[in-house]
Amino acid sequence: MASSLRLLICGLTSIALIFQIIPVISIPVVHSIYLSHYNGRAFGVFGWCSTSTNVCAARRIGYVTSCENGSDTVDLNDFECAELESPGEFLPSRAKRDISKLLIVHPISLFFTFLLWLLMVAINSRRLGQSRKILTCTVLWSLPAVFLSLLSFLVDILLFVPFLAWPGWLLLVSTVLMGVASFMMCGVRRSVSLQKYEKLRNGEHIDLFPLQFEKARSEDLQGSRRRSEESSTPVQTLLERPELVHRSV
Amino acid sequence: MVKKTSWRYDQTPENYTSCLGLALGDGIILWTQNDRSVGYYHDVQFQSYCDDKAPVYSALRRTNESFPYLDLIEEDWKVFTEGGNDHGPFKYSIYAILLSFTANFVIALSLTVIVFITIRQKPYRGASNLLKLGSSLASVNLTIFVVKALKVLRDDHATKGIVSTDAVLNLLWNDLTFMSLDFLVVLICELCQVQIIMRLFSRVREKRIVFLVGVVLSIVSQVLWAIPTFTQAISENHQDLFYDASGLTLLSPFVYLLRIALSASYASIICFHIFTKRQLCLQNQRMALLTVITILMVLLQPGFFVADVANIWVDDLSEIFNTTCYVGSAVIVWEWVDHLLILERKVQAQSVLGRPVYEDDQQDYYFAKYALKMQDAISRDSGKAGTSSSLGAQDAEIPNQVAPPRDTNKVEFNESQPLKDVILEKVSKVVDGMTYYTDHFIVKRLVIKTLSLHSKGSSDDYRQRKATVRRRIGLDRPNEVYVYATKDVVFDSDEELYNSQENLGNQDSNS
Repeated sequence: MASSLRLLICGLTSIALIFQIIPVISIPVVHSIYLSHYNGRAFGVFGWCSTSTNVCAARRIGYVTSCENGSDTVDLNDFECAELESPGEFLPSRAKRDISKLLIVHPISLFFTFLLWLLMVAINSRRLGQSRKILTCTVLWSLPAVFLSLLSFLVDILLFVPFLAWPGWLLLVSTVLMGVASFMMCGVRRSVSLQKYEKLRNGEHIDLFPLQFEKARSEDLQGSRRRSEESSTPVQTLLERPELVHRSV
Repeated sequence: MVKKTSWRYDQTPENYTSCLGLALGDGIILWTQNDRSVGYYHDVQFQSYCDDKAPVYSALRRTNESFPYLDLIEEDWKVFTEGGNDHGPFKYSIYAILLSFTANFVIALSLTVIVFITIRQKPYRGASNLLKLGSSLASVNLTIFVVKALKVLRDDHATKGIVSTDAVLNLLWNDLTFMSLDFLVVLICELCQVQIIMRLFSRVREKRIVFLVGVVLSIVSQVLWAIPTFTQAISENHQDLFYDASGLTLLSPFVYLLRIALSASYASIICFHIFTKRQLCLQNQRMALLTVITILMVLLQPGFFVADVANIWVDDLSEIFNTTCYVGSAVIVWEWVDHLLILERKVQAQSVLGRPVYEDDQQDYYFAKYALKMQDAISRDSGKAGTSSSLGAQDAEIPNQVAPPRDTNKVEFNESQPLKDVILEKVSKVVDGMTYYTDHFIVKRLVIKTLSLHSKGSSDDYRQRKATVRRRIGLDRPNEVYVYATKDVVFDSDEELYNSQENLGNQDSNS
């Protein structure tokens, strides 16, 4: 049960990681993926491209804000420079172009999610999976990871609503998946902590299994019947055998 | 006028002829002063009073005998109210803004009354006091603001004959008193939210993590919020100061998003707990209603973000709404958690297993510490009855009773410690200190009686409670020794079991 739960957590984190990779490799890295398409421009995390001429701005965090800096506009023609110089709205949400620097949270979030995914993979192994420190670290690391994922989604909303494309919405799904995985990790940490404590206290490994009074009683009855046939020793009931510990899940 | 959202482009305003100036031509007769006769004027220019190149309401009283407005002015007003660019429609008008202010003011005031009437003082004395302080400050802040806004409107009415929306909004964004109090209110409410989340978790270690992470995030978000907000307000009030607006353009939306992310996280934690404890939440009608209100309150703030993105009107008034949202999401949720925990305790009290005890409690010897402190406090108090002067010193000594004794046989030399050890020692001291203060909040509910034993006077109520505690833990009869005889307990079910087995044995032997 525990291993399947961990596999589920690992699977959720893997999907979340893939969903975070897609926006990061958006235009100009992969031309078919973009965060928003507005006014003849397609926007990605590392730049934007003109859909009419298919020419992209230089790859960098934050969109080019003016044509004065020559190094920023090496790939732009005069028409696009003039378009940039115009005081009109560049982004769909009327946010200033400087705000596009906030897209830096995308790669940072991806880094955090990737490390979280590595930790999730690691805790699937028998040795690391029983380490309370590793599990606590994973739970703690998941907090900023979820937080940054949410932040990157909010940045996309702020910049591109109402023209946010599907890669932007994937971040919301990614955030939810990571949140669910984090909650599950808390549960795993609790159960491992409890098992360790029980093991330390009792000096033996405890397997959790449901209460089966009826079965135990019938087995006990059958056993006692056999014993009564074989010898004349008194019959032992469940209450006289306190070493039998039944624990519920 | 200063725009609050400096990170958004202003929409291009319309050019209103009445604001630019109307050439009325000649043939105008004007009577300007009482002591002068009526004058005949050539080439008269008329310009309406405008705010930021947009028309404003006239505060003058109109009757049937009044002169009609000029056609150009009426056309301008029509364009202004029907176009969406310049906050012209009715929802942006002063009436909607005043309604928002007063509604938020009334809600904050009601929440403050609720806090003082319904929130229990115990067992979270510090947190409930913090909540009372926060809600009271919010009420005071909104009261001051409403009074100031009305004063500004009165001045405009009296001196200019207009009703200006921008004057009220400027007050909201640039008033240092409002901002300072708002800063404190939001910080206090965020700390209360941290306390609420701590209450939802049962394990000590999780409480510690929630406390440390929550407090750090609250302080960081508030400090980051204060930097652009106060800089802008101070530069507006003191024009001679240098203000680098471009440097803070990026920080302002980041803090805005940070706050939204924090409130979304808070809402998701509360909603998750509602889901996991849905049976308790829907146990009775009152609790179900409270749960619905709680969900609405915690989702209100992320909801405002969506509304803000879709509608600039909310953004203009976001600070007012923020204050109410924060106070509401602290007060209502606190009340909900109170009810939920009471119901939970009731269920636990009625069940066979009782309250769950976690391994964290055992590992850190919380119960042992609690018992020691209780015993120590009562024995000292009974030994020195009536001497209340040295109670403070006793209180300070309690942790030493619990702490392990020092190694007195250790010989120490004046050797300089390695840098690594010094750093480790310092770090561990900081961590221990933080853990101590965290535990002070956490363990408080356990040791609150112990602590209050020293601080209270010798009232009857106090004596009664002390006697109850002594009786509970058996310190009222310390010299009586009980010897318990061990005896086998025979249950009916076992007898039946024996009888059935004997019958079976007899049947087998007969056969």
